[in-house]
Amino acid sequence: MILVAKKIHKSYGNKFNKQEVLRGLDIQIQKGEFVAIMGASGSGKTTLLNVLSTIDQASQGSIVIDGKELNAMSAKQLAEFRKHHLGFIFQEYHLLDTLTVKENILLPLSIKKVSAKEAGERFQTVAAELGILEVKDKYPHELSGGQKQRTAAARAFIHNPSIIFADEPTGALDSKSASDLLNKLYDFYEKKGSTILMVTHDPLAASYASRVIFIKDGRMYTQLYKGEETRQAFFKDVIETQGVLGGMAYGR
Amino acid sequence: MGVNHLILQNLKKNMKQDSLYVLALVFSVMLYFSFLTLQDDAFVHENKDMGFGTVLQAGTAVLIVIILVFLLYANHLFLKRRSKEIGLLEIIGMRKRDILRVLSAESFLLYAGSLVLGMLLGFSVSKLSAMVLLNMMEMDSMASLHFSSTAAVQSVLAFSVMYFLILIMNVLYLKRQSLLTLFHAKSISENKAEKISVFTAFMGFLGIILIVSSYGFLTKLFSGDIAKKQIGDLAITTAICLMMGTYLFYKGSVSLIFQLIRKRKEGYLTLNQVLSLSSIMFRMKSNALMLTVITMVSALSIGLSSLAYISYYSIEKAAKDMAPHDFSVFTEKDAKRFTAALQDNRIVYSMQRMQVLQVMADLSQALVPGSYDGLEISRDPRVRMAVVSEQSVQDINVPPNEVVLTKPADTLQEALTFKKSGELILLGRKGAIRLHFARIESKTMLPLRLTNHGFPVAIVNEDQFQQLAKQAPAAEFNKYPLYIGVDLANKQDAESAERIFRELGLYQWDGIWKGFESQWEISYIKKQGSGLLMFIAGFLGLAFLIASGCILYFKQIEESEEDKAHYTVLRKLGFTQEDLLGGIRIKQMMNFGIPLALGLCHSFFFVKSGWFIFGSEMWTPMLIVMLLYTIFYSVYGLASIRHDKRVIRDSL
Repeated sequence: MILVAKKIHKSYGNKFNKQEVLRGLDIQIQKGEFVAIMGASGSGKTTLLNVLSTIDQASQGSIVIDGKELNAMSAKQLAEFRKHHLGFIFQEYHLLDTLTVKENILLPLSIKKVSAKEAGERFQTVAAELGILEVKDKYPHELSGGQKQRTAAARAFIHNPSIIFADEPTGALDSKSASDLLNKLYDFYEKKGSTILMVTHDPLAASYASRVIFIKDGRMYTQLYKGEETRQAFFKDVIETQGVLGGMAYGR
Repeated sequence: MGVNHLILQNLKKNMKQDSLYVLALVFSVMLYFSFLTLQDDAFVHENKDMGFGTVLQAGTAVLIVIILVFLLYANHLFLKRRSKEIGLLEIIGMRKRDILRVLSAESFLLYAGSLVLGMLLGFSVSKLSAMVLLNMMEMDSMASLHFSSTAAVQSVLAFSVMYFLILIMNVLYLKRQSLLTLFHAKSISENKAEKISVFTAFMGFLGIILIVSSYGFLTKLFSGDIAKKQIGDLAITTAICLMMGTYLFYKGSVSLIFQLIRKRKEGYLTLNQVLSLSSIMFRMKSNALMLTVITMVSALSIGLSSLAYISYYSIEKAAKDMAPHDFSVFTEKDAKRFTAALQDNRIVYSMQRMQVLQVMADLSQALVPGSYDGLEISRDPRVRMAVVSEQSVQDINVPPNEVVLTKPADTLQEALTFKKSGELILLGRKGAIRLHFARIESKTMLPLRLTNHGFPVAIVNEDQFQQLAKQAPAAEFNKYPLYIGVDLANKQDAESAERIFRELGLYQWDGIWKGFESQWEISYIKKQGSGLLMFIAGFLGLAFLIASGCILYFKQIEESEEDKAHYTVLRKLGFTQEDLLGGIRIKQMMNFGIPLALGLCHSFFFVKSGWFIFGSEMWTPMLIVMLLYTIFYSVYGLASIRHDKRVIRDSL
């Protein structure tokens, strides 16, 4: 078990005007799993990702990643933890626009005291896998959206984190770039055993995962396992479930 | 919610956000007003002949230009910063005209408030500054200032004009902007990052070459190698080279150097390098013009302040060079009157007598060839020199046919160089006497006015002195054959001794020198001149410092807002606030340090080229001025870091 979260609550505002976003969620993720979290806008899926990835703090509940209890850590320790154990991919890429592709990707290694030689080798491998080797000296604004997101993915994978958090990674991409990226993520999951937790509202993106968790109004609604199904079949299941979920939401 | 409410709300918000802008505005008014008050003061009117009014007026003109540029630039930054807010007002249906009204009313309140506050502060400060000024000039008259209505009217007028200029700027800005650009004004950094082109590299290279060569020109400028006529041309060339070099330095060199460092790291940058190198190398490039102006004016104001301080600092020594004894007279009768009066007042003194001959001398064998090109001497090597006997000088014996020279005055020394040993030809009426010298004695024996403005004094053998005296030139030429120097044992007596000297009518100076000298009087007069100069240089330097520091600070605030997204990313990736702050410190050190260092460097070479014209000691006064400037600048740097700290804290 790489991530165990129990009874997570998250609310915003003060005690007179409280907005409860997460209402006692339980999630467990095993090593080497590719999990997608789906839900309508406002269902709390991004809040959940932020809380699980230590960017935000839960109001209640416990989260354990890699055997470490997050609630017991100070903000500084959490930052250290993120630095060493977590990788991130964001919808808006979040690349530093003053750095080249290579510099962006190598950023997480600079803190880990990895030798320059090893850093170079790791970069070669990751960049080759993601097909961005030829743009390594370009600046982000010279890249296409797909290239930017693959750069961000390379940055997330380069320091071999325990778990990768991806927040709507395909949200800003056209369909071709989106499926390119998803295939790469799938490769990392299948061939290298990376653990990935992805938040998305796109059923197609979710169908690449090995398990899809649906949340609604801050609670887990249901989850689907892919098992031996093909991606196409799984995609249909996801759509159906989403339909039910949406139908319920509108009370029809 | 009406428009008036909106105006007040905006004002309240801005006051909090841009307290430094308000402070700077108040401070500008304060400086300007106190400067004007000083100008209007009776004491200045009384001393019209000293050129007070003109110098202060020139100072005011420079001050107003500095303030104007500062305010226009600050307004530009604030418009840019508020572009989103302006866009929002437009989206909810306000017309540009209405928005303009809101902006104008806001700045009006801001300006009016600052004007009143600044004038009140300025009034209290002007008394203080008048006292500083008088103290520097060692004048006793008390500063008695009244609230000057002329100054008030002029301040209101000047700042009204500035207010209208700002209105015009706002109109132009709003006219140019469409809704789309208003909303995107902040995301310009997107297209800043690009590869260093060959052209940039070339510019960077050229910039460094231009700067280095203009330093070379500066060193040469007053070295004596350059003919007087060409000095003006070379000075202009140097100024242009330096300015272009500075511009290209920011445009290319910084990027080039940083890029070379980056290249060597092969993409593997530490966080500190990410935060400092990468953002600065693109930003400096796009701010090149502003940074050039700041650097050049910094250099100029540090340079001028240094020179003013050098001259003030060297006054005592300069006075000593002009008149080596505290007092001097040229007849036994006057000496007796003066010393008798000193004795009556129980003032202890010592006295020294010297026979002085003024003789024409041929320097052609005494000077290093080529060291005086362009000077009068190169055409006619004969100059008037003072000659004294070895017996008038303690501890010096001169054999026949030899001569010991004293060191020429500093100003002269820069223009011509004496050989270490050579021949001095004294031209008596009955023929020339060739004397050999192998020694330059570094002492001042006679007042500057007796040594043909700084030429060495020739100390000769007693017999030869008598020989020369017999064939002495006409009395008109040798008006003061006897020199009597009086030194006080106690410097505290200087003031009363000076009064006695005056009361005996020994000091009469109606434009024609009467042969009396008082070291005390000389330093007093000099203090008045350079005290005023220093005061104005300091005043303008301060005004400029505040303005340029503020501009850099505003720029940093703007940049850190732009960089907020970067901080968010980095913190999400797991960099702690402390990690980021470490990099930010380096970044700000460079942001403020590079223009400062370049300005200091420029001013160093500027001062070094001609300091000896102003005084006799360069290092101490110059370093004091530079240190003060650096301290003031660091305050802005620290303020920027403090602001960054807040932005970083709020970024996640």
